[in-house]
Amino acid sequence: MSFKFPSIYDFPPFFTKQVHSQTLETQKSHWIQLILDYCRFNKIWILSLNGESGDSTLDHVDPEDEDDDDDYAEVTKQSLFTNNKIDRSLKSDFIMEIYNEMISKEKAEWVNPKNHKHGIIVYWHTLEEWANIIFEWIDITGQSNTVLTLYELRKGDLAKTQEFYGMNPTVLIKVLNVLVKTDRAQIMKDDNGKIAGVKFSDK
Amino acid sequence: MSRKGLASFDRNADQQTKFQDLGQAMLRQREEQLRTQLQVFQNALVNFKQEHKKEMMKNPHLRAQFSQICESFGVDPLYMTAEDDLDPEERNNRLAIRIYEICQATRDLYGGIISVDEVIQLVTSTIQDGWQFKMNHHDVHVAVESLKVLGNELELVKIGSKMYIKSVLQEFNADQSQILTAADNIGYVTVSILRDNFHWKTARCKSNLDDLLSIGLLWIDDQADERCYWSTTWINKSH
Repeated sequence: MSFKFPSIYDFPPFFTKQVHSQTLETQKSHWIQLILDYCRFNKIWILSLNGESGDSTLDHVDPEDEDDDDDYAEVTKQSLFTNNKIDRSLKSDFIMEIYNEMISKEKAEWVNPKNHKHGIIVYWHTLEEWANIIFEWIDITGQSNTVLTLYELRKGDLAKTQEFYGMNPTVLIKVLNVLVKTDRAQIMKDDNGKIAGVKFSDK
Repeated sequence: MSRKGLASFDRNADQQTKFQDLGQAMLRQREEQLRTQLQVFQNALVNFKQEHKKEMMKNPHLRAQFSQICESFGVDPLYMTAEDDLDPEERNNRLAIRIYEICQATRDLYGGIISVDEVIQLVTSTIQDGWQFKMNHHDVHVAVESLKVLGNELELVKIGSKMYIKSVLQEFNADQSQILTAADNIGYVTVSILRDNFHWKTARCKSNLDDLLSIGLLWIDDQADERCYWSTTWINKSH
């Protein structure tokens, strides 16, 4: 089953930034909803600047490359922001505008605020909602007070049917930090300061 | 059977999964039971309304209490009976509410006008609380007329040969009506299309197009040879 795009996606002007301010607001809010629905459906945690899943490309971006503030990225044919059927695609400065609006509405966050090249983390659930979902699941499945690795949470057999299955590690750590702050989990680190495991408290 | 050595670890893990499965199964079962109970109660409410319809019409106190109960069980008392059971006035009122809701919901996107055909399509294609309206153009007229007592918020207008419901105060001049008709027919217009077909000067085309843009009835597409002004009536059209 593939994602079913809303009918406005086949409306050519949807891909041109509208000049009239009220229409523009409507257009942007429809784009934001579409991005959230699309990422939720396809389990995309990180969206690149050109509208592709950023999960796989993340490792290839040089982390030292911090001084590059060029936000331009070619919008490709596979991108969410290209509709090949009607031969239309969004301009990258308008994509940036939509991303910034998502961020101001707390529907997204820069992976790295200093280097936008890494794309955005898309929050179809807020971090607090994710924290509740995971904590609830730990409780129901009787895994409180046991130490779990991040891998078990993300890719464990038990988690297979869960919405958070396959969650990007960067996002997962943010969620766990929420749980730590609210005294619902403890993070254990190894000698190198890497997260070795996490223990959840009783409800 | 007690297993010794390494095998005992397997058993431990085994047991844990089993407990988890059992826990989840129990939760599911309870949820199922509650859902059935709720369904039974909702059905009872529907039956009650059918049996005591007349009494309820007469007794506002009973009606209020009944609505309250319905609300707490997530049943919309308005939408509970079958369409055939309704007297014409109540049916019309419900239609009017649906039409009003649709106009509200689509106003930002469409700029405040929506074709009667699309309204009918939207009303008849959605099932609300288990039942579906059948309606025609005449029903829409009656419903919109009846809303007039609440102010002139909705108005039926004819643009070209098509009927629309308008929920903005904006009036259209003859030029604008002509543009909207053309745009609705083929999806969009351009300045050249208007000049060639209506023999207007460029300035006349531009100023009318700008007016329609500024009330959100047209959207621009700049990825064609010439700027296209699309009609919002095509947003939900299946091509």
